[in-house]
Amino acid sequence: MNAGPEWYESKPVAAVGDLGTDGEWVECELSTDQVDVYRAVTGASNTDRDDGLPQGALPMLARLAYLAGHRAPPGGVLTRLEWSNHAPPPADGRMLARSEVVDDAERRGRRRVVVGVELADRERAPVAFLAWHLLWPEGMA
Amino acid sequence: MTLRIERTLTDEMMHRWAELTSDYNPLHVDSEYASSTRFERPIVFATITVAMVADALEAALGDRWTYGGRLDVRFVAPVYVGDTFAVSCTTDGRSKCSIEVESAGVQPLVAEVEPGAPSGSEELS
Repeated sequence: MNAGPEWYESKPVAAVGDLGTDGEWVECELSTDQVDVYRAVTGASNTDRDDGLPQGALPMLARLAYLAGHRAPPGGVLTRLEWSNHAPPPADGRMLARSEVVDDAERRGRRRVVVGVELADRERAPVAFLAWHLLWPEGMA
Repeated sequence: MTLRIERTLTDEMMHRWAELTSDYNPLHVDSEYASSTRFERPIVFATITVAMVADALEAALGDRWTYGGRLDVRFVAPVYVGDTFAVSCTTDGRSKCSIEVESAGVQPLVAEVEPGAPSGSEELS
C-alpha cells in the first residue's frame, strides 16, 4: 500500500504515450490483506473461493497495470469497460498483466482512447481481457 | 432467479479503496476539491461499482461468469459517495442473464452480460 494523497500528487500525470507496458508482461498481485480490504469495501459475496482473489478485483489490477506508476489525468472520463473472462484468477493473487493502447482517435470533438489489458496467471495462462474506453481530457498529452 | 446486492458507499470506503488502489484522485476523497468540479461532491470509484457488478455475476452465474463470461458496462451517470448502489442480476438458470443497476433513483451504468460456457468446458487459447 502507499503513502497517501501527497504521495499520489507526486506521481507523474499519465500521457497517452505512457499507458501500457510496451508489450511486456509485468507482475501484479493482491495480498491477502488487500483482498480483505476489497471484500470490506465491496461486500463481496463470492464465498466459494474465500482464500482466492475475487473476479471483481481484476479491473483494479488492470488499471494499475496500464497506468504504469502514473496517475490518471484530471478531467478524464471512463465511459465504457468491456470485460471478457477466460478462467478464475489464481488463488494466490499473483498474476501477470500486459497492456497497450488499442485505439486513439478524435471523434465528435473529443479524444477517445481505448486501452486493452490482458491478465494471466504466472504461467501466462489467460485469466481475463479488459478494454477501457476513456475520454481523454482536452489539452493533455 | 434474481439476486440483488446493495451497499451504501461511504467516505471511509473511498479512503480505504484509495489506499488499496494507490489512487487518491481528489474527485473521490476530497469534498472541497469535488465541490469545485461539475460533480459538486465526491463520486464513487468506477472500479468499486464494476466490482460489485462482477461480484453479483459471480454469485449468480458461478463458473458461467468466471469461465468465458463477458460484461460490457457503459458508465452513464456518477454514483455519489453516501448513496446506496444496488445491483440486481436475473438469470434464467442457463444461458441468459440481465443486470439492473440503481443508485439514488438513477441508472448510473448500463451493463450487458453474456454468460460463458458450462463449468470448465471453455477451450482456453
